Amino acid sequence: MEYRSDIAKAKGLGSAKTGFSHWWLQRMSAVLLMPTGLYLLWQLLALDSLQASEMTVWMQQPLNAIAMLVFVLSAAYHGALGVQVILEDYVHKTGVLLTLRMALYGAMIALIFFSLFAVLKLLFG
Amino acid sequence: MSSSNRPLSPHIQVYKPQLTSNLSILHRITGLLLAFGLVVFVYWLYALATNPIAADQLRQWLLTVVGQILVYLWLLTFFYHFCNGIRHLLWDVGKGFSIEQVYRSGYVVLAASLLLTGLTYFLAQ
Repeated sequence: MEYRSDIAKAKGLGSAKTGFSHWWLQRMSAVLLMPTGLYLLWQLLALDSLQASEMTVWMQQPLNAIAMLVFVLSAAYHGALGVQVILEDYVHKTGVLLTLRMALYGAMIALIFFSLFAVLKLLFG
Repeated sequence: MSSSNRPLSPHIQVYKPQLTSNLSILHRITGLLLAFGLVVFVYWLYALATNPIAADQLRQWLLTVVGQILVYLWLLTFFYHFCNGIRHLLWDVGKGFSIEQVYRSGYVVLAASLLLTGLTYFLAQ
């Protein structure tokens, strides 16, 4: 069934065919964030003080390190996808939008790098 | 895209706020705040791995009155975005679209996020 009008087809309006993966990955990262987020919250609440010495020991447990890594990486990606939508909705100047979107994904890559480095260093010493 | 003065919808100046629209914009606002919170979280993680003294300084600061208020407001935004995210995922699979269900789930999300923040506060004591 074709819903587009002839004039819309002639003008080439409609989906750019790349929106679905953005939508889907936002949902998939949300699904990863739920169990890992609750696990981290539960674990951190069970710890005494959250001092660096205590956290270092906690992070050396592989399960804890993996949960932390999945949580932080999913959060960085989920956050970037979400902020991208906010930018695209409210920033109407193309140049400003492209600049902010590049800064956003630069920040996401930095967050991914720093958290990956931190978790692996704490896990392997 | 054409940048003429085409009307935008919804007309925010004449739009009557409702529970549904307030919760919708709140999902966005909490998401944005969580993204900023993630930067602090990753800073803490990186400090744990590279500079434990800085991690303990951040911990000390978050234990002050102002720090604690920020921590619990951040937890409230986390729980709100978490619960409302589940509401969104249910909508994505086509459930809960009637007006009564949308209002009921909205009140459930508000109550659940307040309860979970309170529960976290008591478990942390």
